[in-house]
Amino acid sequence: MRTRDLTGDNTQVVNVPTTERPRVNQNMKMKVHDLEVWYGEKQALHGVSMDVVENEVTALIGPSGCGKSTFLRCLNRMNDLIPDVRIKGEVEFENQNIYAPEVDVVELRSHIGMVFQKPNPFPKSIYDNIAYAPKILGQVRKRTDMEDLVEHSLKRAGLWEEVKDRLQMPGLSLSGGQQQRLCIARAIAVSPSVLLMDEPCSALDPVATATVEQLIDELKENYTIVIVTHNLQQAARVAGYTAFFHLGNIVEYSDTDSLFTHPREKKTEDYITGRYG
Amino acid sequence: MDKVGLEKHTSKQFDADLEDVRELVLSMGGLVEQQIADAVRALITGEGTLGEDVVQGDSQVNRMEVEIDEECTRILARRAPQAGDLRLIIAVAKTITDLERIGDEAEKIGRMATHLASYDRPKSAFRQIETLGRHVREMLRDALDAFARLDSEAALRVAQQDAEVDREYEGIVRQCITYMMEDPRTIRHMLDVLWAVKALERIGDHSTNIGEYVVYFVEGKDVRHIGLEAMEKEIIEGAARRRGG
Repeated sequence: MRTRDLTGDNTQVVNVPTTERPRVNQNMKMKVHDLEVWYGEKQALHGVSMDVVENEVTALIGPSGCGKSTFLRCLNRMNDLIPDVRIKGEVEFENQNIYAPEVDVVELRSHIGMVFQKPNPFPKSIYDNIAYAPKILGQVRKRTDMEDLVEHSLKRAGLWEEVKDRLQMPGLSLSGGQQQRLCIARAIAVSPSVLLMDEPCSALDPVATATVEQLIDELKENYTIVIVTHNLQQAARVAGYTAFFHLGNIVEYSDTDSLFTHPREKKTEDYITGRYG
Repeated sequence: MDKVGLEKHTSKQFDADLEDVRELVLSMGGLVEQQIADAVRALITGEGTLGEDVVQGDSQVNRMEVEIDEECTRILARRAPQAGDLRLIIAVAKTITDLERIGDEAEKIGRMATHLASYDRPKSAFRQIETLGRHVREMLRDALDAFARLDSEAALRVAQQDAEVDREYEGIVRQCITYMMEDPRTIRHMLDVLWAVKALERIGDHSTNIGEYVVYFVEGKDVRHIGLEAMEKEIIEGAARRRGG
């Protein structure tokens, strides 16, 4: 059986033992080409190339310091905020290099949203957490439209039933799992097409984790999701594709079933079976 | 990818758990091998209560199957094994099912041997049965060796022997038919002989299955039902890949 090697040039086909069908018809939402990142003198990414499949969940796994979060943050130019950072290479989103000088970063981030490790609601009401960005971006002007948007976003994030009677309560009064879903609702309120998630469940208990994972599963219908996770089981559960990062390079990138049952690379095998280090 | 190894987990207990389950499989295999040897000897010689002993001995095989199954479940639940570790547990769980079936076949032969204990044996047919018995035992031993050494090329050789076993089986069947046509009074006994011979032939098939699980574990490839040629190809490619070819 053949499947696509998603590392680099997406026309390349390699023999991989897999039961998956080759998914030749899927579109690539983002294309990353030869991405290099330095923090001061230290190089964090060494020419990484990888395509992100549309309407799929792609998990990035690897040991601490392997560059997976750096990579994720490059996908919506979050790294621009870090002093001393140097970035080389191309990140293509909808056929445009997002590092091109004419790109409006604020607008870019409304297309490529982000959810962080620690739930970080604004110190505002639940309602305002959702309404804030669409308001300042000028996406919604009428009050009734905004109410609809808040309801829709909270419903998409699976939080509506739990908070519909207390929308004016502070976002920070919610439980950890609810706060994280609020952040997801906030991220999708501006209608992004890509959601980047940096260990979104690492601060959550197993029940809240399961709820967020269920949500991720539902969201992939409409969004392309890239998730960094330390929890290998989580990658195995939620992702259609998984990339293993090591020392600033991608070691292996393939469909999740292949990666977790018969990885091609010894390094991948050692990492996912707990033989790392 | 290098040859699959079982050790060097960060968790030493995990190493120990996998090693334990592997040793249990090998000792179950050893027990089953002995059951076949005893059953065939009982059949050939009609020796005393040996056939009966084999029948009794099967419960020990069954107990081991349950024990190893529980161990596999425990490892799956507690360790959530991945990749090679996962394939090992899957291969073990399947292997012990085939070993248990081989145990049942040996039991069947033991029972037939008891029926035939007082029967006057036609020499030549039983010599052929002895050869067939030796052959399938070798197949099982080779399959277990391949499992112990994680050697997919050795597993392939098990599958390659199966055609010869099938030929030997057909030869014995033809001979039994001749006996029955010559003297219909032998039909009752010859049917028992045929049951026993069929059981031996099935042991060859089960050993082939075990070889296939070894290939799955080592190569990460499912080579069941794809034919010997395709299986050879997969294994040669796997070996080349490991050598970095």
